[in-house]
Amino acid sequence: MSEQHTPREFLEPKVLAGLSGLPLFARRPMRGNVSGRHTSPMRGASVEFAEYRKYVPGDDLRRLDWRAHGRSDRYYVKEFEADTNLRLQLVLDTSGSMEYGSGELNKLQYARRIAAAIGYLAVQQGDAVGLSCVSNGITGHLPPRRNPAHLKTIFDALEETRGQGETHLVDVLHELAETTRQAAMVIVISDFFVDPNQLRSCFEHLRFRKHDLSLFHLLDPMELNFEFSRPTRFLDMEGGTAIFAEPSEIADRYHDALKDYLDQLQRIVVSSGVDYHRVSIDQPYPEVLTNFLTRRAMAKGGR
Amino acid sequence: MSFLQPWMLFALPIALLPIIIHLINQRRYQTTQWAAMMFLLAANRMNRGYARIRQWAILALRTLVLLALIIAIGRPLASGSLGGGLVGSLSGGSSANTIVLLDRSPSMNANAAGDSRTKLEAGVAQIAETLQTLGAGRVLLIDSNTVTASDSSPARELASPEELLDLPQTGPSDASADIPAMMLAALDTIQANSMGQTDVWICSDAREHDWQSRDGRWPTLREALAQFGRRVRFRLLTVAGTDQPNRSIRIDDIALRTEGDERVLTLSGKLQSDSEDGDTSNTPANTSIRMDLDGAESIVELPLDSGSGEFTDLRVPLDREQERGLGHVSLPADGNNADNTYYFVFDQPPPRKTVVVSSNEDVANVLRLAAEITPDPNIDASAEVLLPAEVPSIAWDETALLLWQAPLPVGASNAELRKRLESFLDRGGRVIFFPPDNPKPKAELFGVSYSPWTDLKDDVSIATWRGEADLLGKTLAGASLPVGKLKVHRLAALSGETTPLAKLSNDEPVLVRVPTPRGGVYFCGTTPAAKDSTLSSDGVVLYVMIQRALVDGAASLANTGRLDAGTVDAELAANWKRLQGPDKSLSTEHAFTAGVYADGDRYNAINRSAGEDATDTLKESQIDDLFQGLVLERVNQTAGESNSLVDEVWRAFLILMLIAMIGEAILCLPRQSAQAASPSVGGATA
Repeated sequence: MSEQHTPREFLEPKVLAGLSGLPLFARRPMRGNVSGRHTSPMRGASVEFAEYRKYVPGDDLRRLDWRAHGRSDRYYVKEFEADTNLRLQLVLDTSGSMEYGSGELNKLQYARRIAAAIGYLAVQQGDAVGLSCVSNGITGHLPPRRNPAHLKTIFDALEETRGQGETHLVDVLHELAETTRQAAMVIVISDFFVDPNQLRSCFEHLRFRKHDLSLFHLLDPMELNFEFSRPTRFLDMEGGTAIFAEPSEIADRYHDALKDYLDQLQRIVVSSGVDYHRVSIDQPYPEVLTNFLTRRAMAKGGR
Repeated sequence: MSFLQPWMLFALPIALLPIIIHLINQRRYQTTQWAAMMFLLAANRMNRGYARIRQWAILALRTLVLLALIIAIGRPLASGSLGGGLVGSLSGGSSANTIVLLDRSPSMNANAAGDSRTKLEAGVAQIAETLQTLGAGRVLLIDSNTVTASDSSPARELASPEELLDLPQTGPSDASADIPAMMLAALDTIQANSMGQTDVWICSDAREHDWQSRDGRWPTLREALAQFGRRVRFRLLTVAGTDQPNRSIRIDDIALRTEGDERVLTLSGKLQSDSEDGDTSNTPANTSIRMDLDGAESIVELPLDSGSGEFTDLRVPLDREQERGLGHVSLPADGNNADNTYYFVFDQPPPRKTVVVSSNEDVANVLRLAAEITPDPNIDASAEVLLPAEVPSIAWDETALLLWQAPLPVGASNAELRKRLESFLDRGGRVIFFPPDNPKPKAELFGVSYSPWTDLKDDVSIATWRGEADLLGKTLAGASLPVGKLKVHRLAALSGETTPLAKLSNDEPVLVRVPTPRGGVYFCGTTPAAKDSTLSSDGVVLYVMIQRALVDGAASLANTGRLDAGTVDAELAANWKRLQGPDKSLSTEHAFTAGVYADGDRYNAINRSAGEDATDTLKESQIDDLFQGLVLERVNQTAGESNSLVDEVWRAFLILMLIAMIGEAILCLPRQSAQAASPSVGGATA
């Protein structure tokens, strides 16, 4: 660990230090393989009493509650809650459209910062972190590991991502829902420029596989406001056809289309129980993350 | 629509600026990389109707703003009747030269509709205002009186159009206008001054009597003016009259008589009403008129059944001693006050002395009898028969009529006689020539000569004669003279430039009039002798002929004169003293102003001409015919309708511009839904 690293532009120690006080909680029980900070559906050896259960042969005699036996002349086993770690799968959209940014950062740079910070926090609290980069298909995949050294691999992968190609997010999410072992935490960071109805099926698929799905929907302020003054030829960053438009003429209809899409997406995330965060990339990302973590802590899932 | 600043219309293409800017903007597009293509594609698929209409509406409104501004600066005129529309405006809205032809005839003094002014005043005011608005350069006035009065340039140059309102030359007059003469004067002025673009304003009410549409000068005028092409433009301003009824009075005949011990003035004349028959039943048949006789006013009832008609021998008693006098009759104010007054003068009738020059006793007797016996016993008439040799003894100054049945006084030996004869005619005397016994075809007097006698085998009667006026005219009662009953046995045919008054059935003239300045020379083709014609046996025609000629000739001896306004020499009349009439008129306008004037001992009554009482006006098609091939704009104006012929309407265009600007601003406002569509960011969790 003594070798000298060039500072990664998406890692800001000050931000990470500020966030370190906030734990990353899952909203539902996780099946980890080691002890951790997250509730597990299993009984375990934590200090938190869960329930009494009748002794059945084969149970460890050390767990018999003799005091209960003394009072009732029956054999009871005292059980405690189990705390476990989780598998966090970060899904990063690296399609061409993520390279768009009208301000200081483009969407991909913003996405890297969010992914790196969450990954760092997760590893810090002993969770396993994996990364999938998605454009035409899965362009890069790192399975979740809780080894701190794995974090470096993830950071390397993040650093190497480039936005290009079309988004095939829907197919990839279906694939990930199947391949990721049950009850993982899946965080998708994308601009979601796909048909909301197709997204609905992915979300439901992930939910069915008991994954805890969170979305960071990144949008550039220019995409939200569409403030062009001159006639413009719009070149598709994902290689589609170019469109020539008079902004003053088309702006109204653009806004209508955008509003329709966002409304539809909103309905879908609400109905499919997804933790959805719409982010305008001119917002400071620490604020977005603080908000994300705080809300998760408040909505920490039961057993 | 026409413009006061038509050159501003060349700036009209500037109105296209918004469209050009739009097109340039379209070409100056930027290229940008874009991620959210799905929304653009969706927007393209949506109905773009409203947005496109809005874009076009904004462009149209911007264009309209500029258009309205340019037009407003061009100072548009509401009246389309001026300047020949847009084309006329572009070829020069206001001409450098303006000639105003002003018809000052009495009919122009009729009240204008909806106004307290007369047609003349309203027309002059409108022309003055219009010329002022249009910024006319050089303004020349030709009025109907000046044209009649002066032979040299009748055009008066005005310092400014406002001067029209103050000039006495634009005031009312009682003389008829001679529009062809005024047009000729305008033509002369244009040619003499080598004028360029010229507007000729004609202010008239298009009375046939003034315009004389059948006059031979019109074709010549048209031909001469057509050479100028569009350089000379005519604008005929017709001011509409009121519906007020109008009556006019006229005295045709006035006579002083002695009946026993009394002296009586008898008046015959006409009270004319221009209202329809249906209207006269509504208005009371008021036939009383005001009469001023030597300053004493009285009301006289006219012997008429209805409100209008002719009256004869209206008796007005006078003092026994009164031998001459003057006065006028007048009607109360009505639609036209210019024809409400008629001036008259009267005097003892002059002696009616006839001289018959004949060597034929029969003829001389017949003529003497016809001349000697007057229809009115109060009037003295005498006739003297002289042989041709006794001619030098004629008392020319006392003679009214000369009946000549002798060889025509031709040749050097008769030069003195011819001179006397001419001065007699110039004074107003009348001469009737009858063929001598042996006419010489070469003997020509006043351009007329007699051919030798020819016997007409059958007795030829007179087939056609002029019954409307002159010696063979109808009687006052309207009955024709029995000219057709006359038979002619022998005829000495007449040759020369003459006006035939009666023709035989073989088309030979038997009585002619020679056109001389005072028109008092007649030639008869036969004599009253029994072998020549039945003039003496059917004596009525001869008698009437001679008496009429005698009356006309005697009038020249009278001490009173009845003149039509405008027919007198203006310079001569300027020296007359006005006894009655409007006080305001200038002495130079005496000849054109009705009234009674004293010319030494002689009284002259000047009145409007008989033609002025005729109300015939030219139809529009007739005026078009008169101006065929020329540029004529007709401006029909009701005086009360508007103060000016031209209304500037630039304010309306400025308002239009403001409305367009507001409309454009409203359309350019960002839509509220656009803000609502801007989505909020944040999280959502199920």
